[in-house]
Formats: sequence, C-alpha cells, structure tokens
Amino acid sequence: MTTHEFIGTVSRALGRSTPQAPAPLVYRHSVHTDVMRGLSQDALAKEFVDYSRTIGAHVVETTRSQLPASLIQVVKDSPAGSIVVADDPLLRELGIVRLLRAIAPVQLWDVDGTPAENIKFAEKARIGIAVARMALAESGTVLLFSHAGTGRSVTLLPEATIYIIPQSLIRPRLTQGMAYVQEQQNDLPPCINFVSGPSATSDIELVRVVGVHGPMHVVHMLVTDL
Amino acid sequence: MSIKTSDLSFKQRMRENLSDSFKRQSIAAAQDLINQKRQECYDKLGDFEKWRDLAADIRSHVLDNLDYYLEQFVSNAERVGATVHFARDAAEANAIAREIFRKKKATKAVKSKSMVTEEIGLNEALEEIGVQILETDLGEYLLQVDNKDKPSHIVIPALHKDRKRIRGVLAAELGYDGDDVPENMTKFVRGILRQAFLSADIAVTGCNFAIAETGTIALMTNEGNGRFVTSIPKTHIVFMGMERIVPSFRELDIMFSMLARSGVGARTSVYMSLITGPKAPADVDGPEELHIIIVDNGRSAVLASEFRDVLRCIRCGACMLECPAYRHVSGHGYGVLYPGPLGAALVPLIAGYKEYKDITKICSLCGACNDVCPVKIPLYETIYQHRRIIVEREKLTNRLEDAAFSVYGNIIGHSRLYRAATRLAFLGNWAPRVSLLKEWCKSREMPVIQKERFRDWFARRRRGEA
Repeated sequence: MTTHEFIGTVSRALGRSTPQAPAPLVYRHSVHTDVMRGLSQDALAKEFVDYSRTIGAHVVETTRSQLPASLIQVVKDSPAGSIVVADDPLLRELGIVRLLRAIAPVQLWDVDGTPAENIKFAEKARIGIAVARMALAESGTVLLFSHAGTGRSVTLLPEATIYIIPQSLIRPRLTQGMAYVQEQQNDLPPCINFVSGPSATSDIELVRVVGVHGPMHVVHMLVTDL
Repeated sequence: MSIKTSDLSFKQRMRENLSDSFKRQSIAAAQDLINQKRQECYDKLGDFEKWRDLAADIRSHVLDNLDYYLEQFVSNAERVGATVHFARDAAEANAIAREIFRKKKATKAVKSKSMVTEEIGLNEALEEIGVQILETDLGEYLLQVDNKDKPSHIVIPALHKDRKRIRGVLAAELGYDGDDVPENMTKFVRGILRQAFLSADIAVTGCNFAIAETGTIALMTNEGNGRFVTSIPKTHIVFMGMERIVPSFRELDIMFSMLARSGVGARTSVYMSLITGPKAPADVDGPEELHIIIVDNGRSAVLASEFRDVLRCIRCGACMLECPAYRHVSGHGYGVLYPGPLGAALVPLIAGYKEYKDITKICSLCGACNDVCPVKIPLYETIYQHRRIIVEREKLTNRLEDAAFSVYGNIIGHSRLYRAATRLAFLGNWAPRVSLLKEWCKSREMPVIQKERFRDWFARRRRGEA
C-alpha cells in the first residue's frame, strides 16, 4: 500500500479528499510551564537531589576541582570491575580515563571501533560513565544524547551508571527537556534518552524490583560549580 | 494473540473469573495501590483538570487532522532514514513483517511490550515461519513461558499470578532452582533475556507516540528492555497504530507527563527513548535499519464514525484500574486484548458488534472511568451508545430478551394491562428460581412484592383510611 493510498483513506474518513494544513493548536492553560517557575538554580538542584534519592539513585555532590577525587571514591564504592567511559569533551578535559586506570581496567567508548568490540567490552564492564545534557528537577531525570562518543550501550549494559551532571544544567521538568530537544530538531541524534534512576519493574505482585535489563545502580554526581 | 483472547463463552468467563478468589484479591489490591499512587501523583502536580484539558485538546486536534500529521510524520521519518510501510489490517501488517524477516534471514527476535502487535497476532504469524520471538517485558515474558497465558491488564499483564505460581513456572520451564522472592526471580530472568538481546537478529517494538515534526518514535519503558532492543539488534521494526501521532516534542511533554502518572502512578517512567531514524554514521551501536509499520486495522472506520474520541486513548489503563466491574471479573472476564471501559468502548468498533456485543454489558455505567481518563474520553456514554446500537440498529438481542421486552412494552403502553399486571405482580413471589432469576439471585436477594400496590395504599391514605 502506498503512502498516497493510506493517507487518502484517512482523509476520506475525515470527510475530505486531501490533507489540509490545520489551524494552530492553542493551549488553553499554562500548567506545564508553571511548575517550579521562578525557582533559583540552587532550589532546583535541591529538588533534583531529593527526588533522585526517592527513585533510588545515589547522589554525590561535588565541585569541579573535587570531581576526580569524588569519582575515584564513587568507583571504589561501586561493583568492582572494568569501566566503560563515554568519549565526551568534559571527561577528556578532566583526564578521567587516565585517572581511573590507576584503580580499574578502563576503556573509552571507541568511536572508530566495531560495534562488536565496543558492545563486548561494555557488556563485561561493571560501571559506565557519561555526562548529562540536562537534568530535570521534578523527576530526578537525566537527559542523554546516546550518540557518537556516548554509545547507547555505555549507560545500558554495565550494572552501574555514573552520570556527571553540571548543576547549571538542571531545569524544572520535562517541559524544558522537550523544549531543548525541539531546539535541536534540525540535527537530532538518532537516540535520545531521558533516564530516571535505576531500571525497575513491579511485574511480580507489584513488588518494586530494581535492575531488570538496565543498570541496578545509578549515581548522580552533581557538580555544583559547573 | 489477537483481539480475542478467550474461547470461553461470556457466561463461562464470568463464572470462572468470579470464582477465582486469588485473582480477585490481586486485582483489588492492585487497583487500590495504583489508584492511590496516581492520586498522590496528581495531587502533587496539581490542576489535574487543566492538564487533562491540554491532553484531550492535543489528542483531538491530532485526530481531526490525522491525515496531515501522518503525511508529515512519514515524510520526516523517511528523511531521517527510516523505511515506512502501511498496513490496512492485521494480515497486511504481518505479511510486511514476515517479508522483512525473510529478507534479513532472521530467526531470532526480541520484542518490547506492544499492544498493537498483540492486536494483529504478530507472534503467531512469525512463529509460523520459524521465527523465535521473545517477549522482554518481565510480565509479558512470564506469561509467554507459562504456556502463553493471557494478560489481565494492559500495563501490568501478569497481575493475576502470584509468586508461587511464577516460581513454579520458572522451575518447570527454565530449570530455575531458587526461591520465590521477586528480586531473585527477576535476576534469573535478567540473565536469560540478556543473552537473548545480545543474540537477536531483529528487535520489535510498539510506539507510544510518533512525532510528526521530526519523524521520531517515542517509547516509554521502566525495565530498560525498550532501550535494549533499540541498542543492540541490527534491525528494528516499529509497529505503530496510525493514531499514535503528536505534532511536536512540545505535545510529547504533556502526553508523557500524563501517561506515566495515569499508567502506574509515577512522575515519569525510568526510560523515555526518542528514536529518530537508524544509527548515524558517527554511531557505533544502534540498529542499521529502522522499519516503521503503520497499522490501520479498523481505526480509519472509527475515525469516520461518531466515536472518534475513543481514538484519543493513550493506553494508560487508568479506566480499568478505576472500574468496579473490572475489579471483579479482571481483564480475563472480557476475553479481549483491551479490557475494562476502554475495551468495551473500543473493541466493538474495531472488531464488530456481532462478536463483541457482550463486553458492553460488563459495565454498570457508573462513570468512574470518565473521571480518571487523562484524555477525557466519554467512555461510559460510548458504551451506553453501543448498547443502543446493538439493540436498535444491529438487532443483536436474543429471543428471550426480545420477548421479555415486548411483553414489558405492551404492559407499560396499555393502562388496563398495566393495572392488571401490577395487581397480579405479587404472584411473582412464588416464581421458581430458575434460569435468569437463578443467576440474578446468586448475589442478590429477590425483593418481596407487596400485595397492595403503592397507588392503592396512597389512595387509601388520602381517604383517611391508612
């Protein structure tokens, strides 16, 4: 069946022969933009931290200068094993790979490598590290562009994920998250994820169980002066 | 599976489910728990009525302009490298999928929970050509390994199973030897499904929403299976009900905000994934091919009918969690893929009044569903209207019912007959408790009819005699 035939059926169901450009969609209310309106960045950060904890993410607050030391501590507190690190400008600048190699086998997501090699390493790794594009206070959510250096597998296959989150990038809610995605619409990466805490299910007797297919442990490392 | 999920008759389904006390307790507990969480969630958010105004406006706007937005979606999805297919019905959708599997010489597939694939019976269609297709949502997987048991709820499919039963099935089918603690059983399944993800040729998903402006597919999951299937297998097939569209990410914000809250009483799901085309040249992982199969399967007829509003549905399941009838008979009582008020409103439209007239009777028209629907579908009015159509237009009543109503119509339409019948009504007190009366009296007490009619008593009273 062709596009033309299919769309034609839909048009006829709507009582016309071809699609017509719609009148603009008018929003009657502004409830979505009113949430946490006018909150300071510090207040947003507090909301983000509180709700991250509610959904089972571990939160570590640090500063840019303290980040290497904090990260080493977090890694030491996480499941012991190898680490896959997203190839991200901030992580490169901080020299994360070199730093962590002192305590564990580390591999940078290799944008020139094959899928099989990269996935194999990520699947064996116990920890994945990535940088958030934005974070949402209302729901403890991290926005990720799972693209290029931040391979999809980095934050999916290892049993723990550490997200580095610059505090200045915290916004009230999904409304701002979607607005940000919409701004990039001419150059959208093929995979974007909003991630809120560890993978979870309530499918057996409605008992919440953490860690079904994705990570069981999620750490939000909030960098207060970034 | 297909729309029909049970071969039992209406009465058999009622009897079986009403006598299953474990199932009834589980459903009741789930309703109470999730309804409370949902309420708390919306209380915290505030202005529920305004939020649902927005959500309903968006869905109505999309439906009224669905041809325009579909065309826009298709051209953008193709622009970003997806291959778009169209299916008029279940058979066409399955044929397209089979063809992709044949071309790819694929034998192993993993699937992330999708209602539309259940609607068209995809699993069976693929199994017929030798494809092994695994459900990866934990609840759906537990049903699949339990001799393809049927879901009792659209969001929490294995709601009717307790941990003992699940442990037994895992032990018998997969050699599990652990205890019945949900954490341990989940961990066991994690190990099995992980291997399946890593070795699958093709991933199959549904589509919560499709964004017209960018050609993006939006998926909402909690377990991470939605992410897994869109990361590892080399081919990704999306099945999309044709009404799943939103104009832009701005509207997706409102819809996702409502779906998570109304579905499971959470501010958000753990994962919201936005998939725009196959992987880019700069990407290492992700599917090389992305196919989107847009399915009509009766939807365009609903769009053209007086029941267009039913297509606003975002499949959150709140109506069934609020429904007092669903509470007792569970999803299995309906015997269809979409149970509860939504099922009673939607299924007769997409699958016919003739076969599905009975499910409209599993409704007391109390209207509780309307009050919680995040997109303000007039559910009970729709069900009521179906009942009228079943009797007046389709004439699908049975003879006994016809005879009873014709007697009633005669009595109520003739004053002499009415007087005589009401005088003799007390004779009904001796009527044998058989057939219809017997069913009715199972859970109710037959009222005793007085010898003296109210109008006679009232006349006596006026005369000062009573």
